[in-house]
Amino acid sequence: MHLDHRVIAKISRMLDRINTNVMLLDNNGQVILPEDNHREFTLPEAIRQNPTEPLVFGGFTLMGTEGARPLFLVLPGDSTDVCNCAILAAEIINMMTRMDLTSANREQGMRCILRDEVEGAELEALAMEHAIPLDRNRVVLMIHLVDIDTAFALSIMHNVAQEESGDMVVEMDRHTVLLIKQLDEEQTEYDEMEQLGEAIQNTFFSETSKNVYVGIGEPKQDLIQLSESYREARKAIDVGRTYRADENVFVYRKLMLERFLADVPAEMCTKYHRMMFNRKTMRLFNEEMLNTIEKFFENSLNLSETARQIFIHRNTLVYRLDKVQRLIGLDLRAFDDAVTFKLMLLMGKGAPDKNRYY
Amino acid sequence: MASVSLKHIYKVYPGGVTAVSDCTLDIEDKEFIVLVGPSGCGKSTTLRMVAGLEEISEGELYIGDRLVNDVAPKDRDIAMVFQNYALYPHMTVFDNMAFGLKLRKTPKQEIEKRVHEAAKILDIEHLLNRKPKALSGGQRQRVALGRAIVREPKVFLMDEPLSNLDAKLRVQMRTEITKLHQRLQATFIYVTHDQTEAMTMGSRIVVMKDGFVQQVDSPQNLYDHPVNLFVAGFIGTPQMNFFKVKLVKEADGVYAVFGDNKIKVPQSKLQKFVSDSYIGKEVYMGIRPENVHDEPEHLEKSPETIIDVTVEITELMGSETYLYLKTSGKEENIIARVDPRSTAHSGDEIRVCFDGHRLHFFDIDTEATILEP
Repeated sequence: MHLDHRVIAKISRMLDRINTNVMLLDNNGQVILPEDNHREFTLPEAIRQNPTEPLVFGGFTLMGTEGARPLFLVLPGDSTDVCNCAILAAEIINMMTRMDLTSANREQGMRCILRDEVEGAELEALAMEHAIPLDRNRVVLMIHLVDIDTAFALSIMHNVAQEESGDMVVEMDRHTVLLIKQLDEEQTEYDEMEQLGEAIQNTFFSETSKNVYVGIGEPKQDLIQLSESYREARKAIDVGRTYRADENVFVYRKLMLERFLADVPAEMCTKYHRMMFNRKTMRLFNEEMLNTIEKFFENSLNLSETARQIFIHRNTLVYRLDKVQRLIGLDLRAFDDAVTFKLMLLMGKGAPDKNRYY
Repeated sequence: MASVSLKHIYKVYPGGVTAVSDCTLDIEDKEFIVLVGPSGCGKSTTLRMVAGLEEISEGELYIGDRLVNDVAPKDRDIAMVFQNYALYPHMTVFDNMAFGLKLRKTPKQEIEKRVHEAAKILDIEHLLNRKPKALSGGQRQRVALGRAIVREPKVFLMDEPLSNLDAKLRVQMRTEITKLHQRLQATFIYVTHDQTEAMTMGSRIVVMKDGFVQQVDSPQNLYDHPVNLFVAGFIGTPQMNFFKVKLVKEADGVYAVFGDNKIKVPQSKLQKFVSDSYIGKEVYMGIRPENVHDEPEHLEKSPETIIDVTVEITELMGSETYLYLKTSGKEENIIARVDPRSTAHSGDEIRVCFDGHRLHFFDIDTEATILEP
């Protein structure tokens, strides 16, 4: 029997409760638990023949689990209590593996749906088999992990998800965990989705000191469309990491401009970017100046609020913007000029590194 | 609860940027210490190193007696409250507060007990069944604090937790956090760029600049005895007035001379000079706005510290008035914080005097104080 590391962790916790030196062996007699024990035993033929019947052997009680390749419990002692304990533990392990199999199948089914590997009648049959409702308002939140153990990430996400309300957690690969969030019928609070993304990011950061990236797709009414939400969430992360490098939570819907720019060929990005960011202007557009301008844009061209947030006097900000206007002719306080500047700036983020001037 | 010790801590980022240099700090058990400084001074980086969210490049960090340089954040027995208090929107206040405990597989009964206790402390018991969207900004911030409290950490770390709140709420929450510290009797490390927050909340304040600790002291001592020009200017609103003066010895004493003005330095102050060698040299002189007076009784008492000034602007603040004054030998305005009944108006030529006993002096090169504490 091949066991997922999450199930092994669960079994380990259960065996710890038994409070005795119990060992779990695989079909070859290799110790699985405790994890620090790497010994190998030769299992008596009698237990191999009839694994689900407890066997007392050399002062130990042996007991196997169900299945073609059973696992074996080894408990010190040969009393009736020890024997009962072995039977109980084996039955709990059987239940755990059965449950894991069902949930793994359901997760596998959802993975196939999200990857567009099934469609039409096949999709409906798969959904029916795994009790996944077809017509629910759902959204995909993709959590991209960097240097974080997937098992730990899954344990966090299972706590975040409201599985009783239809949420699902799916492990796509070593770096990607999805939360498929079921939403209220036709009521999508986009801000709430973003807050959820922020809270998830925050939890990972405070628990592991590592950042995760969260991409949020568009809500979809039908299961068949959910793969689109998955692709949107992935796209949001790809585009967001390029154009909004200092952020971690990206909502597909809010990245319209960035998505457009991502489709512009790199040479064209470089060409336009260099019109504004070149040798002549590189001294002006230092890190401080670019931070100031980005903050000014973030605050919808509000001078006072920007000055307050970056701890400078309003007149200092006006002076900096005047300096930009003198050199490049764009008054960033004017909407049209601000848009032009923003586009040129973003073009640079889409250009290869060597073509950037900041 | 526990003490926190930072021993010669450095943070150097790849590429060689040094964010924190040789930070040595002993924070006592149950102390409320505030790290303050301008943006980029290294205060948040220091806090994040204590939290384990940033790797320590060099030095040792102890929480209690335990060296924790290589201990994961979740195992440091600390709780952090961020500026961005992201709550799970689909969870109730109770579930948000219980979330960290559930992750740690705390027994259900224990979770119930801790959440209710924390909610009582924060006065949010009646909100436990609400979702975050039904809460005000201040209530959300309380929930974020609650999330930290339930973990019963040895040390609370707070990184500008009030900066997302409006001015009124910030003042209110300031008091709440101070009260919380008194009730919990825990070690608090609080980061802010706001010196008023630092002065009102901390039992000790660490002033930082460019990655270096400038001074660690009680709020009153920082205000009265700043160790250098930076601390003197950073602490206090409006900030201290500075003058480049020459200390000139005359028959009846030593005078600080700038432009056409002469201020007599009191003998008691001169006795505190770390060296007589400053007499005859240029130094920086500082005086806080509240120690510049325009009232006749002060002028009568201190004839040797009077200067002639022109009032440029007056700002009536209600309980006090700020006068922005121009005088010879100083390009920027001198700010005086005077009685609101002051009769000075813009354009008036008046006389003001300095409280000589409240003068500060700093070395012109090192900018360090030249007065003994």
